[in-house]
Amino acid sequence: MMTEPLQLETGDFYSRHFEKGPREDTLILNMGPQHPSTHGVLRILLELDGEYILRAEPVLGYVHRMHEKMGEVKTCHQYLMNMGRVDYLHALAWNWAHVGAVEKMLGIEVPERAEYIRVITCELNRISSHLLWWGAYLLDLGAFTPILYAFDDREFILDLLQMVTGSRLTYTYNTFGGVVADLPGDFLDGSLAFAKRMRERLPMYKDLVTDNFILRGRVEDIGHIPLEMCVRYGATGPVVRGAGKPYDTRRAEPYSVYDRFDFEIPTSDRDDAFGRYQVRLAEIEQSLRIIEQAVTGIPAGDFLNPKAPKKIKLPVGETYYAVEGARGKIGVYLQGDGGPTPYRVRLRSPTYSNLSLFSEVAGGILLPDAVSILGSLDLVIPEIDR
Amino acid sequence: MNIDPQLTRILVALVAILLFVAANAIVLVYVERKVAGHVQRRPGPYEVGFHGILQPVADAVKLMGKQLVTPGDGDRVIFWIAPLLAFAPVALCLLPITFGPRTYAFDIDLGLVLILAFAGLNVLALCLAGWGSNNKWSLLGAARSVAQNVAYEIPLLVSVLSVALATGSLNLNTITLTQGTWPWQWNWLINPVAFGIYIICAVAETNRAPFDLPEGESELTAGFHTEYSGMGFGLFFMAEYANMLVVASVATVLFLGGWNGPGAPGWWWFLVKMYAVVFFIIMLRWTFPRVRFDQLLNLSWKWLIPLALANLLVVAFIVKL
Amino acid sequence: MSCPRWIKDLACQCRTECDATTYGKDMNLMPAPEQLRPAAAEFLRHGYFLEDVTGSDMKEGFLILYHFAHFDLPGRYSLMVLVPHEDPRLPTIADIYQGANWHERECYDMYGLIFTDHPNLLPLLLPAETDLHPLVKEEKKRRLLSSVLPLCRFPGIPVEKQTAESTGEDAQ
Repeated sequence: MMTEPLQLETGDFYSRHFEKGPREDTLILNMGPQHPSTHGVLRILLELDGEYILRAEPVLGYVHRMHEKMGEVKTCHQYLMNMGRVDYLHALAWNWAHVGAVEKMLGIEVPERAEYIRVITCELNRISSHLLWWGAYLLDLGAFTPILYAFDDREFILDLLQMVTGSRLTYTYNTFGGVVADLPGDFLDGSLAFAKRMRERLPMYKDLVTDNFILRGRVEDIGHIPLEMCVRYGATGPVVRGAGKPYDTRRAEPYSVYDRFDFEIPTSDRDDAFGRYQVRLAEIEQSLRIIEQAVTGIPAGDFLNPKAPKKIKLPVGETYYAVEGARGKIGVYLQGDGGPTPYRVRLRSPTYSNLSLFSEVAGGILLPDAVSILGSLDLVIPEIDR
Repeated sequence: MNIDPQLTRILVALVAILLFVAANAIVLVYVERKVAGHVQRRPGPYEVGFHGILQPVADAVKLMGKQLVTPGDGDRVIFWIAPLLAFAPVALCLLPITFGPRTYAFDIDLGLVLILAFAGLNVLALCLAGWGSNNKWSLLGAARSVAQNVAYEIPLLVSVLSVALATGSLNLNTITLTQGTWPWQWNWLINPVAFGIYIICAVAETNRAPFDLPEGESELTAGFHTEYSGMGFGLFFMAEYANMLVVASVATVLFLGGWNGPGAPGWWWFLVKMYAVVFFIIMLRWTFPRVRFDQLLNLSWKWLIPLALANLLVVAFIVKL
Repeated sequence: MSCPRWIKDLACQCRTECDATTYGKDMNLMPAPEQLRPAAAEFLRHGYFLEDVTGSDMKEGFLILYHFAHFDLPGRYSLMVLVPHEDPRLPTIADIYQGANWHERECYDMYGLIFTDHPNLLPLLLPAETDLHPLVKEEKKRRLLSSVLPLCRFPGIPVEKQTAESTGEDAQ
């Protein structure tokens, strides 16, 4: 197809970049793809001088499953299952992004009750994602206990969401025009009970973990990501909120019924790992607020728009829909050509942009700090590789 | 044939100590997993035997049944000497410890020096393990362990020295006898700074969390013992528990009054105090995250060593008065 | 929603304001490949962050879309560049927006686009030795640009390739 010869060099990243001009006293090390703290199948090529990292470069693609190609060969209804598997920790947000994009293109209305249900379940999912992040981050730093406390709390959320969606992790609950099923009887009471219980646990976590001086030494002043770096890399979510900018898609591009709820956007002036840590823990508190307001205000009504079309054919055109995921701004970009399957599905994953700044942040730091920074970015590799 | 009674005594004591250490290793594995479980709001081992009491037996059988894999390009001799070297000095370290008024292997005037000398062999074992594995991660773990152990031996020695200076002898029997029956007469209240420093250094010397960087599970996959399988790993594991016993025994003798105790002084008091220290060390592991390497060295070089030296000076001053 | 003056002044082949409630963005601009870098630099100068770099396979060529948004100001804008199938080269913006580094590598992976002067144009998600470009469509599945994005008239594309409906449209 190409008529001109291409001036591309051969070899992979290691042989092209790291082998050229290696210094005598440096060690080239592969962190991953099997490693306890890379949160998935991520490989990072490190050039180390003792314990100091001179260069770091993530190598991706180990969990690449071609979701974007699947979007072009599957119909919109068939594609609903894929969204739960992209980021399994905040599956409902990805569900919402895709469903919202199609609804925007077709102009499908969503009944109010369904919007409230989506908000409650998505916020519960956000809390469970943040809890797992918290536990796994501390496990990386060597504290073996908080992850089990976090999983204890998550059990409540998983039970609640199983009651509603039928799954414990990879949810497929939103559909075009609403949600798949209505809430069972005791879900709302269960959510309120959970919110009450979680509120009692958070101060304990603060005393036990956040105020622990060893932990502070491991996360304070580590991995400074200033705002201008976030702009250059497109980093969103707790990364940019930890850098001081209160940017949240729920306020910046309001969707659904979020404008009816009173919640704050926690930020932190310190752009280091501890700032991002504090932002995420504060977000758990804000999600609890949203859940309580939504549960008390949920109207009766349809959970699914009865006039929503049963066969979805995307019209000619394009749309971009963004939601706020636990990791940042999730975007789904659709192009339609009037056929049974979309013409192009693009999944904008927040962790992809967040991880791309790692090479710049990781120059000259210590190896344990690299582990700490990776943990503070809240990575889910399947979301990066899609 | 006339065997020297002292030699007999030492041989019998050696066998007894080895049995003691082996039994303890098995029991401590179980205790650690139960403590970990209860700290983490779960029951710990539960299935094997009544409340999981046969779990260590199951673990031992599993470890012994695994294939012993040697890394291809590594040095076989060094690779397999390392676990043996980790486990061997422990028995020697426990020889001079006075478990009871008459329960000890031999009464040597330089008991303390003997223990400290053999405790340093631990580093050599880690070093050999890291080098012989032919694995960059193990090498990093070994390098870290050398720096860590060297840095923490110094405040350990200085704090122990301050106790010896206050007592006037390096003989463990004498040190035990100078402490009285009651807890307020023991050295931990007479010399609290040395006690604090000793406990911190003891945890660092045995490579237990929060100072378990050489093993640094989440950073270095398993540090220096990444490549070991089966009984090789088992020996490192047992050596870690045995080391814990050694430092706990030394702490008991030096700071907690040895076999002294209200009521009936004897080896039972010794064991109670030793297990209390071991329990404390186990609890530390499940409570705190890991320190970073430069913070570890900073703690030792900038804080513990000056503090230990200052303590030594104060003690020397008081002794002179 | 009114777009800022400086966006309307950017040099490009055509631009269309869109209805954000249906399309999710406020303006589509279509610079020629050589107008891309100045436009991207202008966006960075005004503090817009790069959300995404996407490719799409059309009959006329590969369409590369860049989406920009701002942390404080509302609005999403997208630049669209069309390159022919036979010579899919366009300049990189990885030195302006470092986040584009990975996005462009992924486009190279999926479509075979060559970003000239890219610091590290290696496959990102597919294996390094691959020469398969999965998202390139078969010839019969490709559609004309105007039948997917009927928002701009596209100069530089021969008139006979545009459908009758689109030649009658008013672009601006």
